Parts: sequence; C-alpha cells; structure tokens
Amino acid sequence: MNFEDMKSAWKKDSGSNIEVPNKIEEIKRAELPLDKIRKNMRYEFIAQLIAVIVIAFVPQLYKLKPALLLPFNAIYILFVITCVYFFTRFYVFYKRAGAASLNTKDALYEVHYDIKLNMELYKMFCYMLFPFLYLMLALILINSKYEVMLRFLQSDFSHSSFYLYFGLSVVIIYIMLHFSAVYWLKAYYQKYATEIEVVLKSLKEE
Amino acid sequence: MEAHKGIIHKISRMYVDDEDDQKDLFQEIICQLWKSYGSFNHQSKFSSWMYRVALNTAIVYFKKHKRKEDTYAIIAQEIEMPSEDAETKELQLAHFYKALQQLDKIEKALMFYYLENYSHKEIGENMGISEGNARVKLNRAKNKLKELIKKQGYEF
Repeated sequence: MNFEDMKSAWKKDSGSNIEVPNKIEEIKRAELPLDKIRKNMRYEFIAQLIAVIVIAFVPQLYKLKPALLLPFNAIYILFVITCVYFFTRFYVFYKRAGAASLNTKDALYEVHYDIKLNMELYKMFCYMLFPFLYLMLALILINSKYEVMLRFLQSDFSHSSFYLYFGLSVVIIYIMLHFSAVYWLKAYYQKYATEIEVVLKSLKEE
Repeated sequence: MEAHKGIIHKISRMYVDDEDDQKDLFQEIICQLWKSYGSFNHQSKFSSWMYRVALNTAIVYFKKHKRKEDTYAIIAQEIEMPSEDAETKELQLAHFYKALQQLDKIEKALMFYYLENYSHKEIGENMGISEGNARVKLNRAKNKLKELIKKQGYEF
C-alpha cells in the first residue's frame, strides 16, 4: 500500500447506505461541549426563575414582622437586579451563533473562550448570590426569634464578638462555596477546556 | 446534503472508532451544517465550507462510548492477503481507517485535506496556520500514518 492506493481507496468509499435525516428535529443530538453548557443553562434558568418567584413570597410564608419588611424588600430588589444582569449575560451567550464555519484555529479559540468565560460567569454568579441569600436567611432567623433578637440587639452586647462570628461564618461559607464551585466546574466543563487547549497547542507554529 | 453524505461519513469514520459514536458524530455534523448554513458565503465553494464545519465539529466532539479494546491487534492477526482485488481494496481501507483513527485530531484534519487533494496553502488557510506549518505537520502525519499501517502488519 502507498499513499496513492490510500487516495484511491478513500475515493471509492462512498458511504451510500447512510440515511440523512430530512429535518433537524429528527436528529438525535450527540451534543458538543457548548451545547451541553447551553442545555444546563436552560435548566438552571428555569430553576433560578422559580427561586426568584418563590423568594418573593417569603414575607407571606414566614409572616415577616413589619419592621423586617423594608430590609427584606430592599435585599430582594437588589437580588432581582443581580439575577437579571446574569440572566442577560447568559442569554447573550445562549443565543450566540456557533463558530463552526471559521478556520479551525479561530473556531477552537472561540469555543475555548466561550467555555472559560462561562465558567467564570458561573463562579461570579454564585459569589454574587450568596450575600443576598445569607441576609435573607438572617432576616428569617431574626423573624422567628424576634423578641429574643430584639433584646439581644438592644442589650449591651459586645460588637466585636458579633463581628468576629459574622466575619468567620462568611469566610468559611465563601471558602466552601468557592471550592464547591471549582469542583463542580472542573467536573463538568474543565475537561472540555483542557482537551481544546491540547488541540490548540498542536496547531502552534514549528 | 444527500450529495455530500459520503464525505461526512468518512470524517465520522476517521474521528471515532466505535460505530455508535460514528452515527452520533454523523448526525451532529449534519445538525451543525444546518445551523451554520447562514454563515455560508455563496461566493466560495460549498464543499470547502462544508469541510470546515464538519472537521471543526469532529474536533470538538467528545465520544460517549468506550473504545473497544485492541481491535487493531485482532485485525492485524486475522489478516491474510486476499486474492480478489475488491477484497484487497476493502482491507486496505479498513487498515487505513484504523491507522487514521490513531492520529491526533489535527493530524486527522490535515490528512483529510491531503486526501481531498488540497494544496498546502489551502490546508493552511482552512486550518488557520501558515503554509509552511501545514507542510511540516502534514509530512509528520503522513510518516506517523505509514508507521501505524506497518505496525498493523501491512506492507507500505
């Protein structure tokens, strides 16, 4: 066998017994990395939307005291604005046209950039949502032990110990949040980013 | 699309060894071609545009099914030189694909363009690399392929 034999064997391979689907809906999608990310986004968007709606009913569900309504609503408005910002960013990505028709190097750079950008967006989204949820949970806690908490806040308690416990809990939760986000992203997306990096490396000039 | 299905089948067969994965990749390429059709500039050749989309899809495709163990070794042992010409061609092709599947993703794309008689300049343009780089990488891929075919017990 030589390369000419190969070329002639290659030309003779017609693949004529394969059927091409007539409609895009008939295709059983194998899913490329970016399609998988987009699919996850769709599910996450629905879950987030349900969460935003459910949180709006927290004052009614937990019968929040009138004094706690104002801080809760202020936090909720900021929470919704943050969610809208991230939803918009995710939507722009979701609707982005694919880069499949570019030359191979550019197409790979685009896919790699998109994967990395989305990993960072997810991380940022987690970090941004946490303070709102933390404050909302604190308000629910204050509401459930309202008299005790009121007495506690009005008493002559040491502010420094409060800040110490508050600071410590925030730091610990943020560390846990960071590592779980990194683990989750690594498990789902990093493998794609790494494989594309390897392919890009093999395209470098020699 | 019907006229070009053969070439899509060849790319699928080059990039993945498992038959189910080949079917999945074939369908994925068709889907990407449909989705990307808006980007087709009618001044260029349809086949060139299609090759790009198909190869870019195959490169970022990650196979789902586990690779079958050592099919190369089994094939190499079972092969006896057939007398019939058609059978010889069929076997050559089987060897050829088995060897192609062992190349890396970029080498496969380079070999594809070579088999489709693209010049080094055209290969460079489609891959986004220089003509010289395309030549160096293609020669390396061809040498690697030769060695792989020899390892399968076939004369080259």
